[in-house]
Amino acid sequence: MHIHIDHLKKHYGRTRAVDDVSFSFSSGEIVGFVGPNGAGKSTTMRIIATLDEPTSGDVYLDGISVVEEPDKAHRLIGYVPDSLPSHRDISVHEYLDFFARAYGIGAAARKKVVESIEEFTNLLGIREKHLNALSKGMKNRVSVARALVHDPAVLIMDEPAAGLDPRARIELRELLRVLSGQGKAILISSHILTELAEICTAAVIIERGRILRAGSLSHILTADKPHRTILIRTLDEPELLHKDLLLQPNIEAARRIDHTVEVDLAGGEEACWELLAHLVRSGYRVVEFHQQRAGLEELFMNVTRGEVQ
Amino acid sequence: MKPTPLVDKLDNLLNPIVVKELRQAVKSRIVMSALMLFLVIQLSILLLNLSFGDRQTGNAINLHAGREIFQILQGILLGTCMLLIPTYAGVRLAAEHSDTNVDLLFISTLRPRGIIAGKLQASVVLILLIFSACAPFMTFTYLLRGIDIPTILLVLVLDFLVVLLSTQAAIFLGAVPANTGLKLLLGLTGLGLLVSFFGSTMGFSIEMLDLGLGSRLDSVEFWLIAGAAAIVILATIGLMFTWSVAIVSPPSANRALPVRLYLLGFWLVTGAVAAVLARYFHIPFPLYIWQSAIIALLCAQFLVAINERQQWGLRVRRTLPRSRWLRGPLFLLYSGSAGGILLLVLLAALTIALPSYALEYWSAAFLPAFGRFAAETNRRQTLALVLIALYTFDYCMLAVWLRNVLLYERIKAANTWVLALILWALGFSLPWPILFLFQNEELRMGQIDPLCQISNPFSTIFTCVMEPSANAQNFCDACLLILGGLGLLLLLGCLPWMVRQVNRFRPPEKDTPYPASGGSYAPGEIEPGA
Repeated sequence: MHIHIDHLKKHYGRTRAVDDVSFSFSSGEIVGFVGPNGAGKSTTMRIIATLDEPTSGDVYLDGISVVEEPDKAHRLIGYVPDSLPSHRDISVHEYLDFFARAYGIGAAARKKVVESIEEFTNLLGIREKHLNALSKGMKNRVSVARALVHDPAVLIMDEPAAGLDPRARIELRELLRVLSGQGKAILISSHILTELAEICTAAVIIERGRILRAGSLSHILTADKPHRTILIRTLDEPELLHKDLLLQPNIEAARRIDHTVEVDLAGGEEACWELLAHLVRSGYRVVEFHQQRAGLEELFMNVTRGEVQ
Repeated sequence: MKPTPLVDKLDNLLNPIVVKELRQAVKSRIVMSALMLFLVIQLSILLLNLSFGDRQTGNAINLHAGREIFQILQGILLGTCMLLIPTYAGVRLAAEHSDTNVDLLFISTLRPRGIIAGKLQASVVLILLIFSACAPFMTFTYLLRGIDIPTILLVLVLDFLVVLLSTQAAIFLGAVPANTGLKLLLGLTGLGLLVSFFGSTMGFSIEMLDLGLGSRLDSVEFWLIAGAAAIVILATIGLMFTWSVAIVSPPSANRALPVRLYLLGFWLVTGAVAAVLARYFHIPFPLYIWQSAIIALLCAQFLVAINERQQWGLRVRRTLPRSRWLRGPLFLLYSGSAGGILLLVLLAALTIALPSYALEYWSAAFLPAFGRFAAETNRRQTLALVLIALYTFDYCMLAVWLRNVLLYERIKAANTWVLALILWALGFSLPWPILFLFQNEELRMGQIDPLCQISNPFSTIFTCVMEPSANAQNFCDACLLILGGLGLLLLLGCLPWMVRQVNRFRPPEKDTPYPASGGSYAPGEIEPGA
């Protein structure tokens, strides 16, 4: 499944909520959709989920236009909104059964489908509980289960981690990893950037309706930096290592921090490999060698200005 | 027990909303408490009447006991149904419509029509449940004398239709997207409607019971009136159903198309019913009632039409034919402000002109019993309707013109109706302080020139229709001239706005090719600020 957001625009009068947004992602990817409040994230997600119509542009799911063929798109998309289910007098199982019916799943298959979703999202124990008696974390799981009930290829999740306790967040993260492993394409917005950075394969940063950065996480986190920062720790004398490193080509700077040496390395992945190979050849007993990446949080603060329209 | 394939097939045919609503109703403490209370009250009243009724009147045999108890039981049935079911359906939909629940239904395979139909069907099941709980008690009244089975059935049918109408009205009000304050206002309006429906239905059915429906069942007149009433009630339920579907449909959908098509059908069917009644009974009133009701409906629709979209999204535009001749009628029917205005003006003109013309020139066929008073009554009726239509047109078009020319984009198109209502309120109230300041003496003496209050529709219509003097006639002519002239000016003022919409109402220039599967770029390849 390939999702292609094509020059999407959504204007409300003079306000450009979404202004020429384009990006793509595919099955198995988890794309973090990041931006300050009012940046246009929810509007973009609602358009992808066919709940809003763009002023211009379109979204294609394997070539199926959400504007032209919303009925076909409905079957491919699972949407988790930023608000939680609040139906009264209905149990978790009945709620999921209702949506399974709403997606046209026949009686013969429905029971099996709902039960497997309940099992997958760990809802079996609370299936007979009323929705309005559930905690936020449980409601969140129900919301995800509802979005999965028709086995969509694309999952659009708008702030699913908002207000969740640490345990619920960890469970959600694990769930997303499993779903991604199953080949679902996931677009997720969240303000908790550290967590996004842990699970996302790509990210799109948006502000005032326009994309500021988009790409694979490794790409956008390193794109703005002139060099790579690498942390090296060996069992040998750090002073010796420090001096040796300063003599190597591509090394722009080296700093000793306790038993570790931090170097600024010009060049790409090849240069990293060459440096590691040199250390091993030279007989250093390397126990740690890793690139220090700029965090998503740092990048977000650098590229956004916190402006709203 | 394992369900059979037949059970599965039947299960698949059920509307999911009905299943959900009924599951919720069964678990709802309110519904169950009301049902139990209803049964207890009915049983108590029947027992009390049986135990003490005859002793109080002092009669050995009360020949009206059945009818008297039936009236009480019917009141309880109607009261319970009208208080519980419409409120339950309306409040639940309003609560669901306020968050994302309804939105989520739209990304399922359910259609807006299915959602509203499900709500109505679930309510029908609840109505039938309560009616069936009441049936044994009502049948028992037959044994107590004073009422016959056909009368019981007819009153129950009438009650059922009225409860259904009230429920659909409540669903419609519940579907209206509004903030808490407006929802509260709509709730109070709905409650007022329910009370008035309850009062009028009870009054009507008590009168029918006293007159004795059973003896009239073989008359054509009875069935003609009953049939006409049923058609009108069902058509009104259908109209509100269509409105509700349009309201819950996504904004990008062509929401007005089914409403306008239904409106045309409603106009034709109810007009035909009114014509048949007028022709059969040789009285003009069915046509007058039809004209008045339709003009009121069109005025309300006009207030909605001025808020509609002025441009169309790709989803709608791609359904338009390339031929201009085919697009013409669609412009009137598709969602869109200018098209709606034109259609409603056309319908209003026909609504006023056709019956007035028929009553004027074919009075022998329609009104032999109505005699020479027909012409004057006809003139007054037509005049009143023309004035109502002109005032609505002028105030609404003034709002459109102001929004477009003076307040462009400061007021959302969707809020034009508020501007129209403000203008109407100003027109109604402003003449009074002005007259108080500048013509105080004349105001106290009651010698104000009625033209000074021409912005007040009530004053104008009252003077024109109720006062038969020659002065009033002159005033009327002046009013028609001024209001008609203003309407024409406003139409000309809004003409560029309408023409822009006509120009936009066309299919896209060329079909955008869909990118193939596995598109050309991944996130990493997108330029910053794209």
